[in-house]
Amino acid sequence: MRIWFQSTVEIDSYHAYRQALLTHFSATAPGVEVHLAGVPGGTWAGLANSQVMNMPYAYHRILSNTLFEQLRLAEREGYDAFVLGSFTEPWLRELRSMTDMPVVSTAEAAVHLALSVSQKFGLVTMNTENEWFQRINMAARGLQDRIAGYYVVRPEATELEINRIFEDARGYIDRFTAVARQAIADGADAIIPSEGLVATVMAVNGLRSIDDVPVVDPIAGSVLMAEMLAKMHRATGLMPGRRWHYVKTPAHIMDHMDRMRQG
Amino acid sequence: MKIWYQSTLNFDLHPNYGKALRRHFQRVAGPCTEVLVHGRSAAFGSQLPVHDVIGSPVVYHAVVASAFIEAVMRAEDQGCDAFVVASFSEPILPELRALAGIPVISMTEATYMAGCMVAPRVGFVTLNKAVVPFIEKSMALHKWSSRVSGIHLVPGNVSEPDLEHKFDAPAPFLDLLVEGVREAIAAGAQVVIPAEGVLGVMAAENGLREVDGVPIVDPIATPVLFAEMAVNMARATGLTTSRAAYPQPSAAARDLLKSRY
Repeated sequence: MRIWFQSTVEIDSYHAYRQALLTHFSATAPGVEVHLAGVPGGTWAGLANSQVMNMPYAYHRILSNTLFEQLRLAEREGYDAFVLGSFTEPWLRELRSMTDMPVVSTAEAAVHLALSVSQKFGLVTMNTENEWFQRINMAARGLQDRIAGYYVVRPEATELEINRIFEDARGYIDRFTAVARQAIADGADAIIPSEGLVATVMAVNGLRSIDDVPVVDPIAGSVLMAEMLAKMHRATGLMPGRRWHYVKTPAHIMDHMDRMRQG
Repeated sequence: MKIWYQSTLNFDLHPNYGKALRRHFQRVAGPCTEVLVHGRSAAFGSQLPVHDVIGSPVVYHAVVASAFIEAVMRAEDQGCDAFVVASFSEPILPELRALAGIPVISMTEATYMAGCMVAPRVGFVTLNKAVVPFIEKSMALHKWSSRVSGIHLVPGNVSEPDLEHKFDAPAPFLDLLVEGVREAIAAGAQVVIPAEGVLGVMAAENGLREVDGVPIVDPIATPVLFAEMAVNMARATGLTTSRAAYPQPSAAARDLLKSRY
């Protein structure tokens, strides 16, 4: 089984995050070959993703085509599933419309795992930019009645800042835990660290529960969910609904778009 | 990995269904997975026909709930890694999660989640009117109403015992099922779950994977593959059922429960 894990950070310059992810994949999905991909160096003009993601036009122009091309590359190279490793879930609909290979969202995978072990969950993230996307995406899924709330660890942080705390994350974990306890007080009986770097920090530091409330691991969760969906695709033929929401682009239109891009 | 698959039907009365389930698991489960297929065979109520059980809330409560409590405790005693509530009546799911230490996977919930990962609106097509209130109860429990396009029926009010005799020549029934699926699609379903076990295995083993571009979830394979994933997740990350949501009984209270069986 081969799974393509697509981060939206410039992974080659996020050394600590990259190493933590690779170590975590080996520890939690030893039977799966996970290929970790990021976006090219310079994509974010020296900024962190969070400093751009709140600008719809910039976020679209900078990120969308890279994701589409990475998905096509994963498909050409014969991967069994593609993980969209961002809690902003960028262009999930478009990506699922492009391929029969399962496309798994880290956010959606974590949410489904939380739902299967709890009644209500809380999403704890690192800044209000990420929080905004999660509010929109969870509302679109009709999950309001299963969510205790959305929470931000203060002071807020960017991806670049979280990447610098992997060596000694104790202070951040303490602040995360304090915010998670507020979610628990509000009725959460599962917690999702709802951003890739934050989730990885919690996972590699073994934060598995807080006061009898499980902390879901979205990184391992999305890889294992991808493995499950790939098996389901093979064994039962399950694929995205092509009638309305994920209508597949035929090859001749893909070719047409490629010719347009080449000028 | 050992997965306990608990149906609400008695396979002595539905032998072809039991055989079809075992055949299907040989096709879809992983090579290291053993699926232990169990029917409802506890002495109390095991000989009642299905309509007497599913059609009567009080008989269902007395017969099925206690059978599932016993089954989940036996599954743990026999070293199973996960327990599948293999019925779209989804009997006492919160109670079972509050009893078991192993993952408890619901057929209804797992198929709904698989549906949500391939389409925004999920339709259920079930066998007959008796099943509908159970799916409505699950929708309320899981708070799904905004993504469920509807609950629809296979035309003809077919019963589980009727279906038991159609495994050798399933085509006419599958045509009726497709009619039900098309009704669900017309009502807005973008993915359809055949929402009853016998109906589900008949659809799955006859390769009904899509209708008019709308995917059909395999309701038999899906909870088993979900159970495999949940076991791997528990082993790899320690994810367990939330005890804040589902508190377990004390050892003494559990012993008391066991003493009844």
